[in-house]
Amino acid sequence: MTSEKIEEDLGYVKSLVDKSERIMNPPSVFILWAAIIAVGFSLVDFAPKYVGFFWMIASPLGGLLSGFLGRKTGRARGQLDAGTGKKHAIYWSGLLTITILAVLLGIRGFIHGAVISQVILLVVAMGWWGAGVLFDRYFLYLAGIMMAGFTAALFLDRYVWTAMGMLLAITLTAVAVHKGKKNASGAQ
Amino acid sequence: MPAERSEQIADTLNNLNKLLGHRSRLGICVLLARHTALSFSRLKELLDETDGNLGAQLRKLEIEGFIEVNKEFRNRKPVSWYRLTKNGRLGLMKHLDAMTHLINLKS
Repeated sequence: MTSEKIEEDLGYVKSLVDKSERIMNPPSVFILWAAIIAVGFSLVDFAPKYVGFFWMIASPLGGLLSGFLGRKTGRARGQLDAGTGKKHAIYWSGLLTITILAVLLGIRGFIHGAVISQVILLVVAMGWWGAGVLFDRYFLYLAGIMMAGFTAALFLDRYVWTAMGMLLAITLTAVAVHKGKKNASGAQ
Repeated sequence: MPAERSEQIADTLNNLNKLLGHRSRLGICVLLARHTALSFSRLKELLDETDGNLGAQLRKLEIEGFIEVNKEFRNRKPVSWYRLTKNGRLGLMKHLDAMTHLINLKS
């Protein structure tokens, strides 16, 4: 066996692994979060007293549903990745826990009113930026929108959250459509 | 020195597993080491192999105890899921180590 043949074989298996890892989060997960975010962010402007209740239910439920959709997509594609699923579960449950801890600042009265939402938005933006680096680069754009929205909310006080929620929902839907097309064409 | 090196190369060549000398079988094992389980159709898509050839390579790996198969029905269609066994993982690691060692020795 020559070293050239070995290098060729190693190059071949590396290309196979790269090809197999091109599966990213399923489009359905992005559609799910587009709906959750559109409602959740609009509530800040239109029904602020329901915001906490909504996110208390929607965040963990959305997380569980995302995991279910991810597993379902994996089975349909014929590729199961327990390690990747575990990594996602640890990452997103950690972000949820940190967000709940940030909410405690409001419950204990250390921060008030709109500041609570702003602090939570920063925590989530940081979490999604991290997800963009670790899992799927599209999260970087979404985190960027949140940062821009955070800045806008510092200077404007009407419908900033609704606008931000709609922009995030549109971007998430566009990402889902783009991923769906890629899957259909087999370009992944 | 060259004699010692030749001996080292010969030793390392002995550590290479003949079963994994075939590129497709090596590819199958590496993919199964990376992922928990892969279906027959997914392996076919990734390796770009025909049904017959892939089936033959998978059978060889299964006979040698490198992989195991679980069959289930999905929408009334049979789906075969392949996993790397503990023995297969050890064999693959040894083979990849030997490959890397050979490259280092020859360069």
